[in-house]
Amino acid sequence: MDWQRLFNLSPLKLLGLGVAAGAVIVLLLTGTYYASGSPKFCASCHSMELVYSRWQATNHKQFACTECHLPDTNIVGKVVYKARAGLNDLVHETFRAYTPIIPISSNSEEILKRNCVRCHYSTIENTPMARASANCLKCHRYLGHGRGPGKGGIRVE
Amino acid sequence: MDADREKEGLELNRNTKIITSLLGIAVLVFCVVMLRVFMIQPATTVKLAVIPEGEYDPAVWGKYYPLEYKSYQKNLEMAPSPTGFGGSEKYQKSTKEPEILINFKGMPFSKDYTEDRGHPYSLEDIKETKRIQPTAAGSCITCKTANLIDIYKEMGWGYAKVPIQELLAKVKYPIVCANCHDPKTMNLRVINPAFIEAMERRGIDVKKATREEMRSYVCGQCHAEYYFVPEGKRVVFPWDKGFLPEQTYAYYAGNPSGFEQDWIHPDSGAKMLKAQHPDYETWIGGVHGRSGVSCADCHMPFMMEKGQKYSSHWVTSPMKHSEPSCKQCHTQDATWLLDRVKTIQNNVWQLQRTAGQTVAKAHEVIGKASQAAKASKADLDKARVLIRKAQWYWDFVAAENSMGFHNPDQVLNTLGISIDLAHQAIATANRAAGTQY
Repeated sequence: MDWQRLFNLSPLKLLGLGVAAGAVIVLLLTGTYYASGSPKFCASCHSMELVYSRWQATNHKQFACTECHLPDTNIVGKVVYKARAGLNDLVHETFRAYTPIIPISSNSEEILKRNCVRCHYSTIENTPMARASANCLKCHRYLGHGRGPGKGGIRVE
Repeated sequence: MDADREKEGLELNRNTKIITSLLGIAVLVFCVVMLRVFMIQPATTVKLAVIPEGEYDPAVWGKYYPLEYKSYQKNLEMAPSPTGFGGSEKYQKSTKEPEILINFKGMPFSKDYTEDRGHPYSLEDIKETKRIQPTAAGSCITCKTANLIDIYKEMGWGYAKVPIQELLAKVKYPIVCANCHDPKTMNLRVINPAFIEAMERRGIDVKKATREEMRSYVCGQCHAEYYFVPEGKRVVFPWDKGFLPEQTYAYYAGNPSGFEQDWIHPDSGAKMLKAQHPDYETWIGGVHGRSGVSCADCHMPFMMEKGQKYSSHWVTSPMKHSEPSCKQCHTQDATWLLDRVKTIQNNVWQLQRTAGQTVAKAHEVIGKASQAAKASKADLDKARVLIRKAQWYWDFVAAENSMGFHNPDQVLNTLGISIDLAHQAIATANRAAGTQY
């Protein structure tokens, strides 16, 4: 392509083009960010089938996966975390390298904890649970994902 | 000038080629990843195969259910359990617990009593054991082979009194797929008539059992205490009064179908009972059993291979794969879990040894006391009843396969009672003869 010709345009036209291109890019990225944050998208991975169905069996099913699993930071922090976690998932999914129960890492556990407190702080602020060391999941482990057999068992057909 | 331009053009051309090929590779990788992640996902169902009833060869079943078969083949591995107890290596238990030789004196378990191996070895091991003579009752074949299905269909309980050598000639397969699965539907089933009858007497129709119940029944059909009816050698599970050691003891106290004892101990002269692996009875009252955790939940957990979920058929100590077995419920890490199981089993092992040794001493003391000239026969008989009961309680734990894990609190209670009864037996014998052994 002859890039020279692009710069021969008048500055106004160039600006207009730039704004249009920027808008398209921003729209695409925002769209991707939100679409890839929907529970339906998370559940499109085979390894997520069980946790998805168990999440649907809880009273937290009104909240998307990302409400609890993305760090409670600004958008940059969220995007960086999402890209890293997404890449990790993509590799494991591509190589089918996952176990039936996917244990939670200590890092994700920390993120979950902060997100519990984000909504429930007023309930616990006057109790020892408000201390950073308190681990909500230790007792409330079935609040986000229910228990019992979920979808994705071994059915004989 | 022209030459320079030509050179520049060539260089541009090469750069374009490199970029294009890199882009090509990126697109290809992207397509493969998208295809594998979103389009071609591993199957969530297993296709039902047509396997005729009467086909017992696990390799044939394995053609249609390869992951399950592959894990079943792991039963051939012989390895110790990570906790140090149980495991699937064959060794004489008396090398670790010499009291076995005294407590089972005068009966086959003092000659040969090995740690049990995996299901595929069931026939090999029954042929090898010194406990069974060629003329022994055919009832011993009940839990060792899938061919029982045809044998029972043909002869009913009549097979129980046929010499085992005759039956072994008809039998080809050990404990295989068909022992627990209906080949037409792959649904779980039980084939041991003794289990079906015992459940019937408890008011339970196993044909109406749920899948969750079946996930324990298929194991319970053999991993249970039983006796042979003296007339006809039919196998019976002593479950009419309940599953606890005191309830099964009470059942035997009623001399069911004329069954009084397994043997008379040569030293103490007591009428003894031999317990056989009451795994189901122990599990059912434990915290896991009471919470509805089935045998298969821990011993046959869901595994994943290349995204394909399957139920492990490597039936062994769950501690060999605590991740899929325990972590469905427990959040602690593998070391913590193993440490917990080891603690329970070490505690049980200690008391099991104490109980076994105290029982052994009681046999000796009653034997010596009964030699005394003026020994009270009534008191000696009381001591013999006490030792019969003491050994039953010890054996109910010692013959069980989990070193107490299936029901830790009940098992420790049982061993405590056993130790106390054995001491009572010793004291009673000494009182009978005025001795102080």
